Amino acid sequence: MAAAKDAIKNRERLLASVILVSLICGWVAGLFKHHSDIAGFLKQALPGAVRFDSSEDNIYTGLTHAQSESKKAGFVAVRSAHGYAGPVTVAVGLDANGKIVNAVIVRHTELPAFFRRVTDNGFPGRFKGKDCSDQFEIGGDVDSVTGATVSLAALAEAVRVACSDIATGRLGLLPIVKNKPAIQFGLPEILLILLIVTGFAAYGKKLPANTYMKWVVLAASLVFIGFVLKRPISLININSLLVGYWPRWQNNVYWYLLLAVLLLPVILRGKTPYCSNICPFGATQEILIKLGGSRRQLPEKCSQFFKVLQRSLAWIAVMCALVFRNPAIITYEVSATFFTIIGQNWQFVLLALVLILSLFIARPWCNCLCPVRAVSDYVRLLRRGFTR
Amino acid sequence: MGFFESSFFWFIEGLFACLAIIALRTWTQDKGIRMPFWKWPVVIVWVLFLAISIAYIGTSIGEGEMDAAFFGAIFAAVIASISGVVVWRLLRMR
Amino acid sequence: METEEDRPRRELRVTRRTLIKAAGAASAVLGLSGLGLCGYQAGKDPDSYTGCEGLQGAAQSFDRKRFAVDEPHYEKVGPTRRADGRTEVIFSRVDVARSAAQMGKRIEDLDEPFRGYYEQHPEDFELDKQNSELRRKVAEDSPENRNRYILAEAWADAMGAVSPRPIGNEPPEISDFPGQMSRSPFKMKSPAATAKLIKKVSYEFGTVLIGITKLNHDWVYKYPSSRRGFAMNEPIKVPKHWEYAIVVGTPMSWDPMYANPNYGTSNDAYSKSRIVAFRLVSFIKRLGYAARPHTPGNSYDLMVPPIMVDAGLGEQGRHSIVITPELGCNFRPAVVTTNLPMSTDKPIAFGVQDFCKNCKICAEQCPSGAISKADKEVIRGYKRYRLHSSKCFNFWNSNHGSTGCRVCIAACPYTRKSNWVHKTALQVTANDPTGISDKLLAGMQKRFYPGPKPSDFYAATLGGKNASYREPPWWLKTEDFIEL
Ligand code: SF4
Ligand code: SF4
Repeated sequence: MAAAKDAIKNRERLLASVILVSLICGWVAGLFKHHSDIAGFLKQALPGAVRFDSSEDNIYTGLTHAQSESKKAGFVAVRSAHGYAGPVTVAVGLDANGKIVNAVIVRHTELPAFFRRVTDNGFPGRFKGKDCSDQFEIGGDVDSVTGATVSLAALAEAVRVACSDIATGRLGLLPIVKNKPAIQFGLPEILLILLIVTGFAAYGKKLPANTYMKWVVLAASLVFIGFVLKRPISLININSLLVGYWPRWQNNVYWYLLLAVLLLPVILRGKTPYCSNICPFGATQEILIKLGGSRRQLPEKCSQFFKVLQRSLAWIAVMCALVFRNPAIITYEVSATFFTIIGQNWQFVLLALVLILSLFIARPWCNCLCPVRAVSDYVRLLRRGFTR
Repeated sequence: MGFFESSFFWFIEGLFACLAIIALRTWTQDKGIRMPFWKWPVVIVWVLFLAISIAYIGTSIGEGEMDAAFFGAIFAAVIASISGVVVWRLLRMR
Repeated sequence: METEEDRPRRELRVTRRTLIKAAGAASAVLGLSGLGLCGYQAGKDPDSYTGCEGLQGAAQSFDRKRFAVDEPHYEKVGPTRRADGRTEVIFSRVDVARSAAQMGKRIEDLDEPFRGYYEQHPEDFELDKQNSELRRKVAEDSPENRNRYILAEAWADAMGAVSPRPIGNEPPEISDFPGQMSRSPFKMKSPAATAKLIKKVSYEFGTVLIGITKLNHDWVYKYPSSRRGFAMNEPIKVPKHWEYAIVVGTPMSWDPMYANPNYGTSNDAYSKSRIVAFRLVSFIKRLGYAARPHTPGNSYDLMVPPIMVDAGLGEQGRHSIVITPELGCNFRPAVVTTNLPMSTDKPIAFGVQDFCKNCKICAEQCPSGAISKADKEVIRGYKRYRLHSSKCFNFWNSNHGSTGCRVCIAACPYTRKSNWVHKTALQVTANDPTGISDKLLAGMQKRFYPGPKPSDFYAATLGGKNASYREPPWWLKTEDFIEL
């Protein structure tokens, strides 16, 4: 008995280490991914210039002639800000009066379907002609774009930083004060904390009060994290964390809170209330199975197969994210499609399948495909493997 | 005017509807499902939803709006299955 | 047990039998009288006017009475100003900027009124100057790309090939009147009967929609946009006999219209609407009254959209085009001003203002960014959405096919063919006071009926993909008919 247990334990240890090593290799491989040349972007950002002088602060001076006596056409700064899935980098060209000549996207790793909303709405071209002292507030002097607020906010922030760096560093203007509180903490964060606390409280013993509370939290999270904020945890968040795209916490309390509620409890106690009590897509499936009135689980064989599939897919997605330094390079989560109604056609098909199956089988998404579940499983494996 | 826009087509649709209702009645009797009056509108509304969805998909294909047909089909499938299961459980209620 | 069960069943059978009998009798009566009505309809059906189905006025099917309002939706705020046809109409000013670009002139070098206008709108000067250059760039596109529109262009030319002669250069006091042809005007029995008559004959002339209103002088240009008997630099004094305005018009063929900006054409409906207007003018003059046509392309002395609103044909949308309930914005109007006394129509409100506030599809699809995503502004004293015509016109010179763009017309969810889906959606928005359906339907519209990226509409040499909003109809696909 003890020997068999030991064998299992050893196998687990081995598996955990192999995966860990592969992830580390992937991470290192990603270090060598070279970024494309930015010369072309400089030219687009300031078409009037033929030559650019660079300096250490990454602000380029555009010159009108190839010779040395040429005049300054303006300045270009390349800056980035954190979007939903990593940094959005723009090159912003300002003329000598501090007006934006053009802004071009150098690179980004946002989800294509979402970022298309931003570009379809004419961004970043619509920043043309704005003054470097503008606020670049979404909903204020920048029109908002439904369905891609986070990406657009990152874009606007990158443009703002570029402008203000040129303004203070080259045009000799005073630093531009952004009238925004230093720490973003509002209703979403408060509600999230409330949900987390009640979610935790309802976790554990199957008391009637707990079941009742669990349902309240699930329903609230479905409405609030799901349909209102449309921001449940996604593998992209975890990938960002691994790849090293850590957004400024002051603006992203929500983001960190959500990740913490998933990962911390698994690390500390080996289990998390997120999936069962908080996740809005989990809530959707719970409600559907209640409607369907069934308690069926997948047959053992089937569920074994899907466990392997689920974990391998998640591993591939994470590896690709690490190697290509792009957290959103492979995404197949249908929860985003469900809450935003944005996605590729095959995602809609998969979503429909999942929703319909949820009527008859308990949590088909969570048990068969969800990569977040796979990650938390893996963390648990690590924990078990390396603690006694 | 094609057959599917003619009054004759609707006449036949009406016949089919009658037959379907009679069949539903017989079937529920055989299954031992009681059909108090409130269950009828529930079933009819569900069937109407299905009918309209199918008509919508057809219309969209006819218009050449393939995206509309595709999303119509997806949305309709999800909504019809979920409400279908609910209706089914209501039917079996005593 | 059995007897207990049996008794209510027998009772039930009795009631059921009577019920069936009653229902049978009722349906027999209903069915027979229905046949009568059906026969009547069959006798009257516009479809039975073979070959002239479209001239029976059946297309104007929306119940306007139910949505009639006393005040049109545009709000008068503060002092109003009439538009300057020489500068505020893009077609009038653009040539000045073009030649300025050729000769290297700056705004200061221009003559009035253009100097004044461009000093106030320097951005328009920059945009208007670019048009020749844009055209040149489009022409540089590969022959393969250009040749794809041969059939579309041939079709557009053909549609514009027939047109009444434009009115001459005599002042309206002369050109609007019947002249020798008729003596004094006939005395009409009643304004209501006259309106009915004018509507009926206009349908026969080929109009699809018609509305009648008193002419609000604010809509007449302060200075003319094309001469038509006016002196270019003298303010137009609105003639006394421009008392009423009749708005007529026709839609563009639907399939090419959806394939804008490069496969559709305005010529199509322009030509038909012109013919209706000129026929109507001739008809009214024959009755001895004054009448003057204001027709597309650019032979107007007035702005048409607000007159359409006054005449109850529709509401002006975010894209500044008037949305009619029957055709959406696929409608090219012409106006006849006259002194023939007629009863007038009321403006209508069928939910467009609320819908546009949130929809913005036209603004998102517009390749040039001409359509505002912002709220309404006060323009010449009235509240409306701003349209940046210089941007719009630049795009007209940035694509292949017949002149123009019309993407906003194709993309607007009100511009849909008439089938139960779109008719139902229209009725839902028109009747729902809560505004929930506006959000829902606009959202569905974006999800279910997506269009290409706006930048893809541009010619390939201008960074686009020569995209059209929808696939062209089979008969405009050049490559299927012509050996290229
Ligand atoms: S015609 Fe084209 S360019 Fe002009 S407003 Fe409409 S969509 Fe925009
Ligand atoms: S597309 Fe939408 S916003 Fe634009 S005019 Fe039509 S309804 Fe209004």
